Amino acid sequence: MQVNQEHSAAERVKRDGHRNLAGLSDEELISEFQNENEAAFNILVGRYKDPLTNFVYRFTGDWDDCNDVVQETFIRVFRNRHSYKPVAKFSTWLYTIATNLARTQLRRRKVRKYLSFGFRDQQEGEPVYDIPDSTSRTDALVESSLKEESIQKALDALPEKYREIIILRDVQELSYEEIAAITKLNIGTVKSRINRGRTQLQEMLKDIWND
Amino acid sequence: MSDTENHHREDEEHRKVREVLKGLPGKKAPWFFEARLQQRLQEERNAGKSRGWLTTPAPAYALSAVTAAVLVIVGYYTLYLPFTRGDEGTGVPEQMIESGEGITRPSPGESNASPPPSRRTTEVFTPAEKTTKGPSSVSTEPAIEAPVMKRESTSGAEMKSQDSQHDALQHVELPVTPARAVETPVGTIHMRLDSLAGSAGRDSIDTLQSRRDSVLQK
Repeated sequence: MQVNQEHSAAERVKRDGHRNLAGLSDEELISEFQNENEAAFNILVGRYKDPLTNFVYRFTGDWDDCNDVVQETFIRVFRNRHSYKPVAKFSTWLYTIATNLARTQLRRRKVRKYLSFGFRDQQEGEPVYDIPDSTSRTDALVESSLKEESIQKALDALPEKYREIIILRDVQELSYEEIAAITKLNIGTVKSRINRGRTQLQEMLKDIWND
Repeated sequence: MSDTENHHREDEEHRKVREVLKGLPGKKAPWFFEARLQQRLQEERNAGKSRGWLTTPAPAYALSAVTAAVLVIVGYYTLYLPFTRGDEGTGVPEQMIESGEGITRPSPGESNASPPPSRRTTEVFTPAEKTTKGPSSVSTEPAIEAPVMKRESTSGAEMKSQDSQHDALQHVELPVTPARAVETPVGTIHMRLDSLAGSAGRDSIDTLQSRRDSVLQK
């Protein structure tokens, strides 16, 4: 009986400790992690894995590349935790790592030639290998899916320097200051690139909102 | 359309773009994301531990020393020795053989009836052409079917003395045949010195010449 009580107490402490960590800010969590508290790192992973996945996927346009980049981003954070200084926000540091890795991955993909099984990477004349979808889908879902693919295709067609900033601003909804810190540009350049990127996207997407 | 109107129109279109992008469904990490990440982090930790002992100075240096020693030994046997071994035994400088210096060849009209070039070294004696060159009158056949003569790869070698030339003849491996004198129309006598050279041991050229004379008188 006494052993059971001790065991449950330890679990309570662990749970409470975890709950306490969950209430901390990103900067406090990374500071905890720098003090070798790996639970803090796990909480940071839980917080940022989805937004990072969304950003990297919209930027690279490839699901496999996206998973590799996001995994590698967290591994870099784990490895180089002591190099983070609280001068900038933790999210800025995290997005900077992810952006650099995503750019590298895009460059590699341009060099690498491989057979694509998806709609997005199809070149003209190449055969398309598509796995038939056995689930039944309503027209609305199909239409939504096609619309998403068209938007993604338009994003992929944007120059990299515009695409990155458009996604950070209009998809991730980050501030101009944070985007400037991530991309190491001044705010004026950020705003002008957002403007130009939106103009180009608008031209490519006009068919969508005309429907 | 005025600038203000253009600006408004552009703002309106950009607003549409923003809404379209905002309306994109958010992509989420796969369900196995954290498990896969923990697995990779564990591999990182294990790799770090196993690399630890390798990066300590002593094993690293020991490995480098062994590698360096192996390379030196291999290099010695494969590169150094073959080039420095050179010709074994002839003692005849390559320069002398190639330049023909000291080699007296039969004049064009003489050699028709002479025996075909063989593997044996021959000495050409042309009484009219006998010179006082001494060692230079010792001839060797062109090396068409010449015995294997390993030549020293020395450049700028000086003329060897009589003894060293004789040594060169001695070291040539020749089939042992009885000495045979062949008289040519112009009196050039080719002799096979192989057996004489072999039996002469370390006799000088003078001794050989005197023996040659005695053979001729017969």
